[in-house]
Amino acid sequence: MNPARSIIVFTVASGAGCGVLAVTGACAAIGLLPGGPPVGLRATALALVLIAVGLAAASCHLGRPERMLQTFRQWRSSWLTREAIAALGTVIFAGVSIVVGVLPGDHGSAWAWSCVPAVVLAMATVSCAAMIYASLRAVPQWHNAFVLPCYLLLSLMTGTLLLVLFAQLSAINHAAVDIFAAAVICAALLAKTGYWRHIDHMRPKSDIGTATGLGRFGAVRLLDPPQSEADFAIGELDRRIARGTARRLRLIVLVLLFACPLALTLIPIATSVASLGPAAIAVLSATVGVLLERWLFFAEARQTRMLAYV
Amino acid sequence: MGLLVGAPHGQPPAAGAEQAGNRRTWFNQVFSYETGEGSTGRTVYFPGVCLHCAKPDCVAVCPTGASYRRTDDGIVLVDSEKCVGCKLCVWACPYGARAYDEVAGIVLKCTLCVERIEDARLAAHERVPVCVAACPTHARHFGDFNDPDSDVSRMVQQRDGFDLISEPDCMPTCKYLPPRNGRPDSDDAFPEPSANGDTKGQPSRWTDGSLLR
Repeated sequence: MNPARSIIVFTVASGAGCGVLAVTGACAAIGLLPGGPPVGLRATALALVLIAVGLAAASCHLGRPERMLQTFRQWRSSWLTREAIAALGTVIFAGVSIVVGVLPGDHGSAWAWSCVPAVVLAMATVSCAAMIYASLRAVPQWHNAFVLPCYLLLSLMTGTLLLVLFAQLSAINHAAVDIFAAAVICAALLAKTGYWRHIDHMRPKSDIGTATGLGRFGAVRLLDPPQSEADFAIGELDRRIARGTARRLRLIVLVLLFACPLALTLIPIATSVASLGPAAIAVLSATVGVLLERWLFFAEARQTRMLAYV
Repeated sequence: MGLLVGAPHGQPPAAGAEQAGNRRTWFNQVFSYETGEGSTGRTVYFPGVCLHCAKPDCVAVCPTGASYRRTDDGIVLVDSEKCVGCKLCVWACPYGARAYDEVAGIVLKCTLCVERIEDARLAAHERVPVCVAACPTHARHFGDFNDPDSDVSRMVQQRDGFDLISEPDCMPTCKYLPPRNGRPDSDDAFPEPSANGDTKGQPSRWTDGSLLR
C-alpha cells in the first residue's frame, strides 16, 4: 500500500500524543507521576500539540479537507469516524485537565483524577486508528490480530519515552517510570516481531486463478493490463518492496526503535544515575524508528486486487 | 468471458446520483489473460468493473456516508457532495473498482449508469448501462436477477455463471459467464484445401472457423 507521508506523520504523531496523555494521566492517578502537576501539565500540552500535528497531517491526506466535519457521521460502521470522535473527546478532556491544573490553589488530587477520562479516550483513539487498518479485509497484512497491540504498545512506548524526557528536563528521575518504559519497549518489541513473523508465514488464500475465476481452465497469466497509463488505484494498492530491502529496514527498526531506547532506559535503572542526554537520544532514536516502522507497515502490505495483475 | 451486470433487486426507482469522468479514472477495465497451455490454451478478455456487492466493504469504511448502497435496488453509489476524499474505500474494495479524482478531490466509481437506466424517456431496450449498450459482441448483459425467468437469470443457469469471490467475500451481485468452449477439437468441420494446392477458399475457411468458435 502507498506509504503516504501524511498518514505516516498522522499515525506516529497522534499515537505518541495519545501515548503521552495515557501514561501521564495513569501515573498521575496512581500518584507516580515524576515531578507532579508541573511536569504533567507540560506533558499534556505537548500531547495536545502532537495530536494537533497529527490532525493537520491527516487533513492533508483528504481531498476535500473542508468537509472534515462530515467524517463524524458514520460511527455505526466506520472506524475512521470512531477514531475522529475519540480524538475529539481526548482533546476536550485533555483541555479540561489542563484547565483544572492551572486553576489557582492546591488541588493536586482533583487534577490527577481529571486526567483519567483523557487516558481512556487516548487509548480508545489509538485503538480506533489501528482498527481502521485491521478492519480492511482486502489487505491481508493488516487484517490480523497483531495490528491493534502493535499500535497500542508503540503509542504507549513513544509516549512513555517522551514523559521520561520531560521528567529529565525538570531534572527528575523516577525509577518506576523507567522500569515501565523498559517493560513497554519489550512488549512492543514482542508484538512487532510477532507481526512480522505472522505476515512472513501467511498463506495467501487466493491467487490470480481464484481472483479471476479462470483458474478452472489452467494456469492464468496476465497478457495485458487493462491500461497502459498510470492508474490511481494501482499506485495506492501496489507499492512493492524487495524482500532484502524490507529485511534491512526491519533490522534498522529493531535497532532504532527497540534496542537503542531499551539500552538507554536500562542505564539509569542499573546505575541509578540519570541524565538528560540518554533520555533525549532515546526519544530521537525511537522517533526515527517509529516513522520507519510505520512506512514499512504500509510498504509491506499488498491489497488483494493486485493478484489480478500478477 | 461474459459479464452480467444486473440491478440485484429489480428495477431501480428514480433517484439522483453523480456521473463523473476523469482522465485518471477507469470505471471499466478489460484485462487480457492467457489460460491453459498448448492446444487448451486461450486468451480471455476479462472485464473488471464494480460488482455492486451486497455486503460492500467500501460502504462500511466510509466515514461520511458518501458511499452508500441503495436499499431498494442494491446499487452502490458515491454522493460527490459528501465525499471527503479519504480514499479508504479505494483500499477496501477487493475489485479495484474505485478511483480517486485528483482534480475534484473525491472518489468516483461505476454508477451502473443510474440516470440512464432510470430515464423514462428512453425506450425499454435502451435503458441499460452504457457498457452493455456499447459492447459490440454482446458480452455484457443487464437484467433482473430477482426474476428467475429473466434473460440474465437463464444465462447464468445455462452457462454456469459464477460469482467472482475475492479473498474477502463482499457478496458481489454481478455475475461472470465462463468463456465459451474454444475452437473445435478437430478441423473436420471445415473444408480442407483442395489437393492440387488451390488456395481458393482459404480466407473464408479461416473466417468460418473464427465465427464458429
